[in-house]
Amino acid sequence: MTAARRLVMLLALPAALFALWWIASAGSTSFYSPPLRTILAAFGPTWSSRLTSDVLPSLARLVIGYAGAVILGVGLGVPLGARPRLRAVAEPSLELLRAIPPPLLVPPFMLLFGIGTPMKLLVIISGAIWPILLNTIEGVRAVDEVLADTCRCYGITGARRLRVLVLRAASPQIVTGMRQALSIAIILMVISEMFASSSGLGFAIVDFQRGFAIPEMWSGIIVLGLLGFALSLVFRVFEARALGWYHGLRRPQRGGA
Amino acid sequence: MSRPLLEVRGLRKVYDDHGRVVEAIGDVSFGCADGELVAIVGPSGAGKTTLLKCVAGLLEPSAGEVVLGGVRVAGPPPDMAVVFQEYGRSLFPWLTARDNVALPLRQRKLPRDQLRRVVDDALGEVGLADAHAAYPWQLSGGMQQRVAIARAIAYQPRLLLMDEPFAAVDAQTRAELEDLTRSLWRRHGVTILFVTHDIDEAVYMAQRVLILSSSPTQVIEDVAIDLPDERDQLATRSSPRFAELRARVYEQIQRAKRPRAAAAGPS
Amino acid sequence: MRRRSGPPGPPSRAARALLGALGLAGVAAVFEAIPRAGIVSPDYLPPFSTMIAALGREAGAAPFWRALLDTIEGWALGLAIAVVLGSVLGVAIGSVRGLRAATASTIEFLRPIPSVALIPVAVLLYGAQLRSTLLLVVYAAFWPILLQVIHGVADVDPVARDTALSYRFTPWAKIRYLLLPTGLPYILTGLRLSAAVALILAVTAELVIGTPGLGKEIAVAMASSAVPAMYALILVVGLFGVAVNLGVRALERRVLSWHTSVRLEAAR
Repeated sequence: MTAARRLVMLLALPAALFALWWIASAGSTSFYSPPLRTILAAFGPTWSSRLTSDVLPSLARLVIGYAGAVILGVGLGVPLGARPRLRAVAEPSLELLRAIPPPLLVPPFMLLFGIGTPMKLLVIISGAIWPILLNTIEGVRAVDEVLADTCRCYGITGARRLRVLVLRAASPQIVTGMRQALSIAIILMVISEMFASSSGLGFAIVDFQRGFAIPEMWSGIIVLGLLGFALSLVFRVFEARALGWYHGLRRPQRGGA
Repeated sequence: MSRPLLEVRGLRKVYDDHGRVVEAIGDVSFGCADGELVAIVGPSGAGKTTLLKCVAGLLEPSAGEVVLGGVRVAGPPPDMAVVFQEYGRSLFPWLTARDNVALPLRQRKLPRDQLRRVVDDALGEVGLADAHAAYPWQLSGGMQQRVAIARAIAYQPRLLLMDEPFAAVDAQTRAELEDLTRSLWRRHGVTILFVTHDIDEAVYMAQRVLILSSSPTQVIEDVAIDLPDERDQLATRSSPRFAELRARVYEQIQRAKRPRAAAAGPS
Repeated sequence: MRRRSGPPGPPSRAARALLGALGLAGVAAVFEAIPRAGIVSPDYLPPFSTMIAALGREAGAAPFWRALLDTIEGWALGLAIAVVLGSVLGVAIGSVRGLRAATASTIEFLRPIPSVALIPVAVLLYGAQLRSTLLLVVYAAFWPILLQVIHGVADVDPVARDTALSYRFTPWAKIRYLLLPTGLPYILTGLRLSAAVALILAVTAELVIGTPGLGKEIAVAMASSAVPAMYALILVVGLFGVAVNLGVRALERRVLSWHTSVRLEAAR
């Protein structure tokens, strides 16, 4: 497929939906669903000032929380994946802990850690860690036996083996987990700000809703969507670079799709 | 005669598979002199791979010992390299051919250009000089196995173990790899112990052929292959002496199968 | 002494169960010890035994069970709607070649929009009622199913598909012999993911918006400083989540063992 054709495919449906929304809402007098034109008009004045006061702090918290989840998730996942006994000890406890919806942890966290940034970071980590942790465990478990024997034969052990074999062999799985964790981190960033907060994207949206500033509220939702979309694109680039070898490997297996 | 490089004494390996006891290796003893090329053949299920893994230090024997260069083997020893049958799984898929060959050497802290030279030489010797930047999945099966061999050669081991290395490639490639292995052996003087189920290959390649019995495995016979050092796929394999040796090995293996088969039922 | 060569064997099933129980006991012990040792104030993190006592008290009162049923209602209804919508759209998109490419970017754009962005919308539209919960649950649980079904339809063996075409299978026969066998594992994976997401959204909606359910009870407990009860309710949600997970996984195992035997039959 040529680049031009791909671009058309990429933009066709969204453009059509957008146009549909515009037309359908053009004559709208509904309070809750204002015309798209009004929403877009509200964009400029609303967000030019709030960019630094709301969007950037949210983004910073998201990035730090996400990084924490990656470090903890991989750091715990590797030993758990490598040692069956350790995994057996931890398994039921992990099952229980991960079944607790992270937003539910906001009230206890608020009690224990207050309402500032540490609480918000912990909320993000408490939810985003799970896909990373579980996928890391799976990836480490599935390291090829012949490859492991090869490393033993050539005396590749310890920290070196971890870096050279385990982490790289598990990286496709880990990256899958990281992708899922990204969506979760965004959601939790917003939720953590919907409670007692004084800044942030989530706070802004709720603030608008409480003040019945409807077009501004919708514009906030659009910003959130754009943020999620932009981050997923950034992630795609990262994934293509980190896992280039893996995609090349899988292509013939998938029948050259 | 100087002390053999590799000594296997009274090796025994028993598996306990949840109550079912399998005696993979009964009592195997043999030795390899420095620089020898020895083949191991036997009927299927004769524990050939288990034997190789015990020699390699990947498996712990139930009894007996393996001694390499006077030192008892209790885990993979540092002066040994292994070439596995499943070449696809023994190469690192995220590394190029060159990086695959270089990996075991990095621990030796060689200066950069020396490392590069050793790696390039090894790849050149196996005929893959232009493929050094390719990833394993971009290479054919035979080429992947060549990379694995290059990696083993570059490592400069005293003992090279090969576990049915050419079983998973087509006949033409197998012939090329056999000749490649022999030429590398002659050039580097490394001791090679390789396991195969192909009798012709064993007789063609080796100086000695060890014939294993079926379970519980023992060495039935140690056949000296007195074919000339210069071997050729066409000429050697059609020589009368080759036919005799081949028949001898084949006969022994058939004999090895028979009484056990009567005792143990269908294998 | 002979040095071990190679990794130790995996623990047996019985050993795994024992080790797991030890792990749980360990976690409980930690949660008992930390507040008692004063590392954290017991007002903010009650000892584990206190939480369990509160759980017992909750279970003895009717409002708890009503809230539990409300949560289950929102979860199950939303999940069912999401599964139907996701499967139908998934089959449609997956079967028609052009549609898949055309919708890909839209899906990529909409999917990352966090369902929580809809919370204010839900509040405005439906207030603190079941429909708010449903809006959030359906929106969030729809995507995993949709994506898995699209994958499943695309994964149909082209040879099998051509065979079905040449034998002029009716649409129903196609679904039964072609799509279902290939698609079933995907549907079940999607169901497992969606069920978990649906639960999260259901209780989040209850927590944030105040629709009836366990989430709302947790918010109420926190507001009235009934801290042990709050933790007890969180634990209940966790246990329910584990039950849902185990249930779907058991379902997966049963359906797939039947499924592989059916596939083997068909192959023969």
